[in-house]
Amino acid sequence: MTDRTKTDKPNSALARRDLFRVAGLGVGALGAVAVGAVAVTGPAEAAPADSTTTTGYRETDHVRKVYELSRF
Amino acid sequence: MLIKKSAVAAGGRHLSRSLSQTVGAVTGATVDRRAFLRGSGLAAGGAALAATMPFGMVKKADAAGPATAAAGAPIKQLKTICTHCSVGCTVVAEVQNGVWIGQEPGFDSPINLGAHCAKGAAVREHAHGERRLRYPMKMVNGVWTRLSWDQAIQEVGDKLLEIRQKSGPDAVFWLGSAKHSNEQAYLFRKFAALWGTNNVDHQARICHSTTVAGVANVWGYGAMTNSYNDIQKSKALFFIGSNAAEAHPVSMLHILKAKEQNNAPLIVADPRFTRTAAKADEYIRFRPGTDVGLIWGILWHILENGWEDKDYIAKRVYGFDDIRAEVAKWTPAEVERVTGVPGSQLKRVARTLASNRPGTLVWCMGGTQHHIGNNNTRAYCVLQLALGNIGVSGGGTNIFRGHDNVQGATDFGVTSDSLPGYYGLADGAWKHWARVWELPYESVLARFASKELMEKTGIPVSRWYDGVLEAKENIDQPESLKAMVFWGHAPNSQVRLPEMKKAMEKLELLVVVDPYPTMTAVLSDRKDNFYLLPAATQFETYGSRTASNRSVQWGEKIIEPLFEAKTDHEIMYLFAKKFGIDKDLFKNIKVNGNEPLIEDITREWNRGMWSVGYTGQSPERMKLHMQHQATFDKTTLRAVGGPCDGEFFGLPWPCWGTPEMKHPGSANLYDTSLPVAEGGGAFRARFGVERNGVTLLAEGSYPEGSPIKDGYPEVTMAMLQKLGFDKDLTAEELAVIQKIGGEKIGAVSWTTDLSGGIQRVAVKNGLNPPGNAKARCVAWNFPDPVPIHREPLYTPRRDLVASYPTYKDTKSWRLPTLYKSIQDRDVSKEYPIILTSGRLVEYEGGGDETRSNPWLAELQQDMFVEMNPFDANNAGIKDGQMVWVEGAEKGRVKVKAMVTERVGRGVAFMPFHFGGWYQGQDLRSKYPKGADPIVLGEAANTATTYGYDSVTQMQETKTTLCRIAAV
Amino acid sequence: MARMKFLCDAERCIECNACVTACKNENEVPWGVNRRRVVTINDGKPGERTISVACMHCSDAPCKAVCPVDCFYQTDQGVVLHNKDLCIGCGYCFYACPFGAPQYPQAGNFGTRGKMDKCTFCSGGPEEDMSEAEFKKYGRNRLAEGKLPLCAEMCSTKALLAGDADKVSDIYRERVVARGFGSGAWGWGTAYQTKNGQERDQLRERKQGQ
Repeated sequence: MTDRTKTDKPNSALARRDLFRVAGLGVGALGAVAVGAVAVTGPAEAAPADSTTTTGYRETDHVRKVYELSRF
Repeated sequence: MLIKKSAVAAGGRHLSRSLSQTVGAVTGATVDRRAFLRGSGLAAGGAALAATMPFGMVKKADAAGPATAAAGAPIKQLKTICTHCSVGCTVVAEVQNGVWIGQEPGFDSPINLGAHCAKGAAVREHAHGERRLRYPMKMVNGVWTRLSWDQAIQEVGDKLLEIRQKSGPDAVFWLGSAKHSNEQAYLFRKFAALWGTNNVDHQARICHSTTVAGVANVWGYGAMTNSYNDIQKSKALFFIGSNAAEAHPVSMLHILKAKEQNNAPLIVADPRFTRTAAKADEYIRFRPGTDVGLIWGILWHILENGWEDKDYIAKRVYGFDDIRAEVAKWTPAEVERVTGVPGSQLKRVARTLASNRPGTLVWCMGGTQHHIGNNNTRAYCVLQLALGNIGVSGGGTNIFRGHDNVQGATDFGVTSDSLPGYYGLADGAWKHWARVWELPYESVLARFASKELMEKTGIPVSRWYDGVLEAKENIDQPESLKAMVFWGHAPNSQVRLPEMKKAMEKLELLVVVDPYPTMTAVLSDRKDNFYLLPAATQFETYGSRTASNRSVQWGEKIIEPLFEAKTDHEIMYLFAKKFGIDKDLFKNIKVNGNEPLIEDITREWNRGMWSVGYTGQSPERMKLHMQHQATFDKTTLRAVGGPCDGEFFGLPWPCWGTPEMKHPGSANLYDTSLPVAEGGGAFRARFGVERNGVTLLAEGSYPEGSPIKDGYPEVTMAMLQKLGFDKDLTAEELAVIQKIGGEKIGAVSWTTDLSGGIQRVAVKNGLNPPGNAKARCVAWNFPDPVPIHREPLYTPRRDLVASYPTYKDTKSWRLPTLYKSIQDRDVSKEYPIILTSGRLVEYEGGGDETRSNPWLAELQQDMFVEMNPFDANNAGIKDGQMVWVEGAEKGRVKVKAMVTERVGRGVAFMPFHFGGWYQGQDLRSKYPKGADPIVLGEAANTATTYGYDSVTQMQETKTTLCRIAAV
Repeated sequence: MARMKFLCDAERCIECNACVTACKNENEVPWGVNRRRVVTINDGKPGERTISVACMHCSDAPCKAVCPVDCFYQTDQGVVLHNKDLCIGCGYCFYACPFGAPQYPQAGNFGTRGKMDKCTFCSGGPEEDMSEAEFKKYGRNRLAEGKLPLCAEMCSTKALLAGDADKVSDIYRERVVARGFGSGAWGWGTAYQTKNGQERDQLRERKQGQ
C-alpha cells in the first residue's frame, strides 16, 4: 500500500477476524507461505530500503521506462 | 460453482451495461470460447488440483526448501529466452538461493520490449515443476517403476546396441527436437551420424518443412527474410494461414505499430475468422487447401492491370513468363469456383497490395501443412516477387516459425535429409563435416550399414510409424524400424494417431526423453521395453537459440535441473559413452564430469556452418549482445553506439566469416541496398548459372559497393583467382584451402573453406559469398515446377478432382507414399465437413508442458470443436454439447461443440494442443503418478488423416474431412 | 499527487491473456480466483473486440460504498484496497462493482465464499509494505518497489496501460492522434466519470444493444 498516514485506513484487524484469515485464501494462502522470501526489494532504482518511508508510486527509472516503451 | 454463482448476481445494478455484459460473457450469458469452457471444467480441474498441488510452491527436488530462501539473500537477475514460440522474447528471472522467485519484463530486448503473451508471462511456473517427470522410469508389466539413471542408460543402451547388431543402425529412429538449443541440436545430429543413421528428424518436418524447401528453392535460404521488427516499416500486411494474435502474440506489437503508424492495411486470408482477422481491415475467407488458386487469383488482377514491378522482375526474377501462363488460367470466375472468394474482393486486395509497397507477406502452418505445401509457399514467394517486395526493408516473406528453436534445429540439420547447414548427405557433405569433426571420413562411414544408406535420405518423422508398420520389402532400408527415441517431441502433433498407436505397440523399444511424460507415455498399450527419461528444459541449462528472424540469442541458466532431470547434452554424453562413440563425438569438446561444455560445441559449429553464415556468432559475441540489449534500435535492430555498434541484434545469419571478422549479421536477406560487409546480400546462386540458354544470374542488380555490376555465381577459389582477389588471402588461409582442395584448389568454395579466408576476401571486396542470382519462379527439380493447385486428398469438391487431381502414388523417403489411391476414394458423402486445426494462445505444441502449468491450464480446460451454426443446426447439435468428430479414416474424438461463426459453413476447427484422451477414453490413470498434465483432452490428430507433401513429407493436417454427431 | 489508473486500449488488445498469467505469476493467485481477466465481445464475428478487465480503482468506488464492514480504503493515489482481516465475504461489493472485479476463493455450502480477493494495482494492502504478511494476503507490492502492475508491464501489445493518469492519458492520446480516431479506452468513463468517457461508454452500450 501507500503512505498510510494519508489514507482512510480502516480499523486494525480484530482478533475474531483472524479466525477467518486461515480459511481466507485457502490453498493459495498456504501455498504462499511456502514461498517465504518473496518479500523482495526489487531492482528498480530508488526502491527505498526502509519500507516505512515508502510513498507507493513514484516515477522511478523503471516506471519511466514503462511509459517510454508504451509510447512505442 | 463459484463463478457460475456470482455470475447470476452479475446481472444486477450496473453503471455500464456493456461492460457488465462482457463480464457476464464469462458466465455464458453470451458465448465466447473461454466462457463456454468454464463450468464443469473448473470443478474438475480445481478439485484435482486441490488434491495434488500446493499452490505457489517454488519447489526444488532436493535442495533448498522455502525456509532456506530466507529474506536478505542476494537476488540475481538472469536473462534467457522464452521457450515457447519463435518470436524470441527475453525472459528476466529473479533468482534467490537457486530458487526462481520472480519474473520481470525484459524491457531492454529490442524484440519484445518487455512484452509477453500468456505463456511467456507464466514461464516461472516451470520452476515449480509440479507435473514434471521426476526420475527415470520404466514400464514393468504395465506399471511405471522408478529406476536410477545408471540403470536406465545401461538397459536402454544395451537394448539399442542389440537392435543395432541385429537389424542395423537404421532400425533405430532418433527423433530430436525444436526445443534443443543450437548446441544440443548440432550435437544431436552429430550423435545420430556417429550412431550410423539418417533416421533422425524433428518437428520442423511437420511445421515448416515445406517453407524451408519451397523458399530455399526460390531464392536460396529457407527462412524468414526480414524480422518481426522490420514489419514496422511495412506499408501493407498480408497474412495467409497465420494467426499471429494467438500463435505469435508479441509479433502483434510490431504488426499493430505498422497498422497504426503507417496506416498499413492489414489483410488476413484464412478459412477461419481468427483473432488476427478481428484486427484486420480486410478478411478473406477461403476454402482450406486452395491457397495456390487464391494467390494466383490476386496475381491475375495485378498482371491484368500491369501493377507488377517490371524492372525488378527483369533484373532479379527468373521464369516469370511461366507464371504468367499459369496465372492466366485463374480468372476471377475460376478463382471463385475453386476458393469461394469473389473476384471483386480479390481485385480490391490486389490494388491494395500494389498501391502500398513495400508490403510484407506472412504465413504459417495454414499454408504449409498440405500435400501441396511446397506449391503454396512458392506461390506466396512469387506474389512478393511480382510486387518487388523481396530484399527490401518493410517487405519480405516473413515466415513465423513455431518453436523457440525450430529455426536453429533446422539449420543444424536435425533432419533426415541433411547434415548441419543444409550441406545435404552427399559424399562431399560428409567429407566436409568429417574435416570439421577432425575424424577420418572412413571412420564415420564405418558407422553406417553402407555408403548408399549413408547418403540416402532417411525416414521423416511424419512417416516413422509407416517405417514400423510397412512390410519390410516395401521399405528402402534393410529392416523396418524397431526402436523409437522421442527426444522432445509430442506424438499428438502428428496425424493418424490410431496408426501411430499400433506402431508404438509393435516396436521392440520405445524411449521418451522429455521434461514431461508426453502423450507417448499413455497412448499405447505397451507393457514393457518402454522407458521415460527426465530431461531438463532450456531454463535449466544455457546456450544459444535462433529466433524466427535468424537472430541468435544466448540464454543463461536460470535454475538447476529439477528433480533428477538431466540436460540433453549430458544425456547424449551418457549414451555416447555407452555406445563407445564418446571419444569421437567429443573430440574437440571438453566434458566436465558428464556435461559437455556448451561453448566448445558453439565454437565447433562456428568452424563448420559456412553455408549459412553461422560462423561469426561466437559465444563471446552473443553474450555481449544479450548484455547490451538496450543499445539496439527497436526498429532496425542495429546497435547505436556501445560495444556492438553497427551490428544487428543477435547477429542474424548470415553472419559471414570468422567471429574476428566482425560481420554485423544480416537483418534482411537479399537486401542490395547495403554492402555485404554491412549486412547486404543478393539471391543465392544455388541452381547453376543458366538453364536452356537463359541466365539464372541477376542482371544489373547487385549489392551496394559490388565490384561486379551484374550477377555472378557462388564464390570459389577459382573465382577469386580470376578476379585477382586471391592475393588478399593470408598464408594461413591459403594453406587451409590448399589442404582441402589438393589438386583442385579452384573448387574450394565459400562453403568448404574452413579457414574462412574465401568469405573474408569475398566480403572485403564487396562480393556476396553465395553469389548474385535471380530468384526462381520455376523449381524444375520439383514435382510441380510452377506451383499449381491440386485438390486435397480428402476433398468435398469431387467436381474439381478431374481438373485438379493429386499426384500418382509414388515411393519417396524410403517409403511408399500414396496420393491418387487416397483421393480416388470418394468419402465426401459420409464425411461432408472439412476439418482443419490450429493453435490457442495459452498452449503450445502437443501441450504437455503448457497444460501442466496451472496458470495457463485454468484458461482452457476443455478440448472443443468449432462448428458453424448452420452445420450445428442441421445436425441438431447445441453449443457446449459433447459430440463425436469422426475423421475420414475413422479415428474419432469426443469433444465439446462450440457453435460459432468463426468457422464458415462446412468447416470445423479443432486446436491441436490437447492430449491424454483417446477415442472417448480418459487415459489419466496411465501417466506416471503425479506427472499427468492438469488438463487432458482428445488429441485432434486422432481424427486427422493421410496426406504428405510431394517434396518434404509434410503432413496434411489443415484440410481433411470429418463428420460430427451428437454423443 | 499522481492518480493511478488502468486503461485498456481495445484497438491493441488481442486477448492473449498475458495480463492474466502475469497477475497469477506475480501474486501467486490460486486457481479459481481471477483478479484480472480478458473478456470478448462478438466472439468470432466481425466487430470482435477484447478488453482486459480488473478492478479499475474507481474514483467513487461503489464497492467501498456498499461494504457493511467498511473494509475498503482508497489511497491518496486513488488505489482502492481492502483489509482481508475485516472482510466477511458477504459479496455485496461484487454486486456493486460494474466490472465484476471482486473474487472469492471458495464456493462452499450455504453461500460461504471466503474473503474477497481483487486486484490491488500491485500495491499490497494494509500490512507493512513488502512484508511477508502483505504478500501472503494481497500479493506483491510493486508500487512500493518503484514499479507498476505487472499485467500492464508485460502486456504483449502495450494495450494495457497503468500508472499516473496524466501519463496514461497522454500515451493514449498520442495513439489516438496517430490513428486518426479513438475508440478504445474501455470503461474509462465509467470508472473515472470523465465527461466524454461516460458518453462514449453509453454510445457503445447502445451500439451493442442493436
